[in-house]
Amino acid sequence: MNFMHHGNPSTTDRLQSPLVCSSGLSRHPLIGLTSLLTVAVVGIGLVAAEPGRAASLDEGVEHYRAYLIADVDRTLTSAKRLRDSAAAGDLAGAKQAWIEARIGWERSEVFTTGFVPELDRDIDAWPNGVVGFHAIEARLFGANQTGFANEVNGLLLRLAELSTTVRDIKLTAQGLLNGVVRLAYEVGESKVDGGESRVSGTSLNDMRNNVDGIELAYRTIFASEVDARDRQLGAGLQRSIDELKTMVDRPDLRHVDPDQLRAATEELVLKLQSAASLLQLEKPTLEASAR
Amino acid sequence: MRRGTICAIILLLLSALLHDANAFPLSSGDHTVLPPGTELNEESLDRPREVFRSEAVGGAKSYLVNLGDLAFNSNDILGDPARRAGMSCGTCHVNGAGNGRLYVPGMSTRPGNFDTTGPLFNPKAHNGARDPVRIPSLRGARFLAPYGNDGRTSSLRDFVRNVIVNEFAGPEPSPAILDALVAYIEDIDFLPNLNLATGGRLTARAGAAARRGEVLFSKPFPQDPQLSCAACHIRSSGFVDHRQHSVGSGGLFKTPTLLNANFNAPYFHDGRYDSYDQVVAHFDRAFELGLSLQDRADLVAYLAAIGDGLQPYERDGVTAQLKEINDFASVLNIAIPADDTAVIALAVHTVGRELRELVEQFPSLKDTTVEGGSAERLNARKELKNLVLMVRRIGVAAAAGHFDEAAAEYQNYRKLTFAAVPIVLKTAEPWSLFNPAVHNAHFAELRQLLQSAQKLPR
Repeated sequence: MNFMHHGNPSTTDRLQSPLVCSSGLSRHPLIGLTSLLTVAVVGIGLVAAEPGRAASLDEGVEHYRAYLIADVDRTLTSAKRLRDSAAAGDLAGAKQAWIEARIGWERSEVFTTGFVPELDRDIDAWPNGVVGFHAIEARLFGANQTGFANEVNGLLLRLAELSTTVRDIKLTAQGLLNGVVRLAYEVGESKVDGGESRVSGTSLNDMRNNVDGIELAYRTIFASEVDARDRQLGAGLQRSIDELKTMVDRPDLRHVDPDQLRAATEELVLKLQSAASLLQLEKPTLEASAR
Repeated sequence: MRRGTICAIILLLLSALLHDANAFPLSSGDHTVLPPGTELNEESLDRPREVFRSEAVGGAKSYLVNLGDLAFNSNDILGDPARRAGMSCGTCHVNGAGNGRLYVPGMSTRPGNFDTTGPLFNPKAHNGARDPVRIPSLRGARFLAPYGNDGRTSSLRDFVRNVIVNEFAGPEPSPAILDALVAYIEDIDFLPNLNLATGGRLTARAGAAARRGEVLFSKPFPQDPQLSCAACHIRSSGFVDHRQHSVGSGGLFKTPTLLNANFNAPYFHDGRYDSYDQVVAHFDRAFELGLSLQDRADLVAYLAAIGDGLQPYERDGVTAQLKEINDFASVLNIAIPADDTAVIALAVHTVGRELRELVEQFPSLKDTTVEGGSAERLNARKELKNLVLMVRRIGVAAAAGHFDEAAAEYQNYRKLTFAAVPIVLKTAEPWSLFNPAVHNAHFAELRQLLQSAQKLPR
């Protein structure tokens, strides 16, 4: 995998990231604990008062929004650095910035596909050599060019719009659970063709960031509520997520077993669907409805 | 499933594995070229038509045949390098036919051949020589013993086992799976050929040139009157004699059938010739036949007449795909009540994988090359993904010993795939990659993206 050429950015970035879930919640015990306590207390209160959907999910959703905003903003910042590096003809710097911009983006896919499909399409179009991340990727990593000012400006416009949108769009637990389920399924898709970011060789980074995004949303919004209602299912879900994290924590894509990965993602989806009925949410379908 | 396209994808992967550990499959270095033989074209929408003997005689494929077809198209029975690349027997023998387009860099010297003793799939079988062999069609294989280009193995079962275990480093297949694979292969018939009558003679449908060729075909070779084309390619016997001969191609090789051979190029054991012209010229040269240009043309016309087949290709689409997947899944009718966890696991693995591939024929909204049909596409994707999950649920239940639960879920699956899902998919088909216009637009865009990755190399 040629992302090794770029100093294994995924590892570096994960260590630097304040918000990566796997390390994030444990790295910031106060934030994590506070939110978990809040969720637990509110959850218990509501379960006692009104069996059914707990307001704690809605609180979790707002906690998640803070992480989402941070991820999107970080992507925007990296994309600006991509623009500046490219303008300065700094090929290595531009590549690094592109890779970093993908981190927050891929983590946010829990949200983007379902809530803002049009932005999703413009930012992450495939296969399209004109707009979005992958148009830039082809020129930057394939042709070693930095002449993509129009493309990067277009990307920045859409990311800025996304950054505004995530601050005030109405988020729902149902919508985000749908997003978690859909992204989990997607992680299990075949990458035998090199995957989404095949030109830069960073498809495995995308997958790791997807899994981080899944864990972030699940733990922030749903985990404590699931644990409170069905400890066994909660433990099973966390085990599935941990298993996925281990599977994608490999030096390169060729070391990821595609069949095991597919099975693991599908089993995770089944458990998430069980969790939906436990939380009295609708069973998530695997595609959004067309608008 | 979509094997033409899938093949191209596999080749990309394999080329990366072989040539440049850092290229996957395009690198930021110098190796940014698609390997030769990679097909992203509309013709990959055509797939060889598969004729089953059991169906041709008015019956239905047995459980054994369906299980064999399932195993044949499962990457799970091969060794790790092939499995991870998503390869199955069906990658090379598409619908039981050959695959003249398959090209694996380092393992092929031209599209349509493949080195079964190369380094990639089983280092233990690597012989250090670049000696690829043609990928044969399996149509009519039950009439064509012995097996292998050199006819080294008399039993099809032994041959199949050798392919799995030694050529592709797969785990030892169970006797039941081997039996099923043999049953499947032996059920694949030749395509009917209206040019041929009883005993392999030409019918009135064949033209004058083919008739002249038929006479030449039986004419004794001038330098060795005991020989003729027909002496080895025995007309009444599937155009084979079940024996090996030296024909000036570097050793002893078994007589290949000429039935349906129009669709089996390239020719000779190593696939060195693209056309009948070249084949006839070879024999003219090697056996000093002294053929005139007219003779050669007549022989070629004869080969084309006897090598023909009715409807050799069919357009890939929702109906063909669903039928195949349902045939695979049908083994669960017997495997679940029998608590046959091995077969259930194989079916879950393979059917789930095929369904996932079928999802990708309906482009998501991120695919900017497709206009319209958003609701239809999303609906198709949603229903198919739902089936993927149902299949997984069957697997999870069976693995936990809950066979009743698995049976109930399979009934749900069958209900959906009987009517509801086909309707949803047919509705979305105009916006799917099965539509040549959509297919071409999608792959043109992909090609353009990859080309923009190749401008101005460092």
